[in-house]
Amino acid sequence: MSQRNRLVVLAVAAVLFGAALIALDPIIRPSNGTPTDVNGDTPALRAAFDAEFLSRPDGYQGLCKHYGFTFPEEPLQMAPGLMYKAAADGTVDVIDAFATDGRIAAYDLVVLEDDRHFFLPYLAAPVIRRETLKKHPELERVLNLLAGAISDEAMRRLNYEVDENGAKARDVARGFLQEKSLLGSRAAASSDPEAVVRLGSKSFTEQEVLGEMMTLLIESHTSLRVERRLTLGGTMLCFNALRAGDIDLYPEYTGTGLVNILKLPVDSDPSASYQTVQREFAARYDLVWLKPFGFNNTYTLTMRKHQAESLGLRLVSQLVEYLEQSKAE
Amino acid sequence: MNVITAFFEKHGHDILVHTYEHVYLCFFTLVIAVAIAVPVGILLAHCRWRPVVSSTMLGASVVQTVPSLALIALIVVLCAQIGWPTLGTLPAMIALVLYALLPILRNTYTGLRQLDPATLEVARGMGMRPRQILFQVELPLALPVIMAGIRTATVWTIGIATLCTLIGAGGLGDLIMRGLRSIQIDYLLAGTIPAALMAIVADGILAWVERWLTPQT
Repeated sequence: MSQRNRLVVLAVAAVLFGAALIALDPIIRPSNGTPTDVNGDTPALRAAFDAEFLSRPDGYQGLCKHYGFTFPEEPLQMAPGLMYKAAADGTVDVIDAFATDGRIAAYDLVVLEDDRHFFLPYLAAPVIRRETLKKHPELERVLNLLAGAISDEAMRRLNYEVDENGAKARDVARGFLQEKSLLGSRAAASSDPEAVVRLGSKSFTEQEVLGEMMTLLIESHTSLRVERRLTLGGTMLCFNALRAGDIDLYPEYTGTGLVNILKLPVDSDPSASYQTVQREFAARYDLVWLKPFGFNNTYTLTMRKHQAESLGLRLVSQLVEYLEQSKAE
Repeated sequence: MNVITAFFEKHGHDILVHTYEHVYLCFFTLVIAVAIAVPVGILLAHCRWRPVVSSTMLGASVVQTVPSLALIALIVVLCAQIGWPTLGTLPAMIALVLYALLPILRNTYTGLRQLDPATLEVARGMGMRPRQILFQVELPLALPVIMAGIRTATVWTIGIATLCTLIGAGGLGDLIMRGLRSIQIDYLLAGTIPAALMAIVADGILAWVERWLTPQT
């Protein structure tokens, strides 16, 4: 065969392969790529979730099992920061928003009520090394000043200030403490080189705000100095640093402690799961959970407010019914 | 054996779907990249105006120096500016095509420029027209170099396409990212092994095509 003929054969093979890929598309990814279309009165809803939600036992798989449903098409997977915008501009309809994210309100989204109680409680609380507490026992009293002080609504507002209004986490934290009259007035920092605590946080807005808040509290009520390491890249990094003694404390969530760190079965009772992580962290790692701040940064299913209202969806179970109905049509 | 059966029971469907998405993304990216880069490379090789050649090459090289993650992010932001979809296959493919251009472009250009001038002289002496020289002398002789460029672009594209999960374009990156976010090795393997196999298989096929197309002497 001449080279020219071989090239023609190759081109034909490539075209056939491409055609086969396109032909397979509707079989392998049913109705992927088509925008939300209306069949009858029930448009098919599309979902987008982040990678963690799609792989955690307390995420999508557990949700489907608990409520007994699936989305008619595979949910899209994308970076968590992009979900809110994708939901707002109609690229997708349902996302796994974090309950205390300020963008839920900012983008006019609405959280569907988890009426069959699947989502775990994620109460945030400071986790601290027992050694550190022994050395500086006043920390417990000072950090517990924040116990129950931050409501869901308040945390959402603080996150919103940083995410959407571009405020600095430190200023937002200070403003909140002043509002609640929680700032102390110490005379001066100790010059003792031992009088230092190293405070960590994960690298997202809420954790940074909490980190700054704890820093301000400690520095205004005690003579301790705080070394801040506020942008550690994720749960396991923070936790391993804490165990190794590279940091002395960081804010953690009960659900994450239970499922991600302890690998225990899910438990949807807030106080029971708090007691479990408190007990197990002390026994296994010699780490102490102080009192929770009060808010619950759980996963949610979230939609555009306008769409949810026009479809009459307020509860997750209504969404499930709706999805089953749209499949049947 | 039980471990393997259990692995495929849990991930078999995911692997199939995401491998398909990955092949889809990479195949059309490469078709578009070849369709752009080979003709442009041919034009550049025959262009007598040096600044055009060097600035085009520089442009392609600059794109290559942008980290792939940043390029994807840039495309998303640009798409948002001009009102194109910012999520899914389109922005992912734009970024991947831009990335795949340089190796093909550079190899096409180099492959044509490095030909022995005496050969071309002979072709002209035989009375061949420029068009005939291009299709019957230059391209056949430069083909191995061009194919090498396409192979490089293919392997890169398959690797970089795993990042497109971040903007909702699917692919095997979905599984890798799930493994990373939840520290579960089985997801990582379900994403990584097919991606690595795909790169090896694609490179093998193209190596065979290259040999098959090379004129026997």
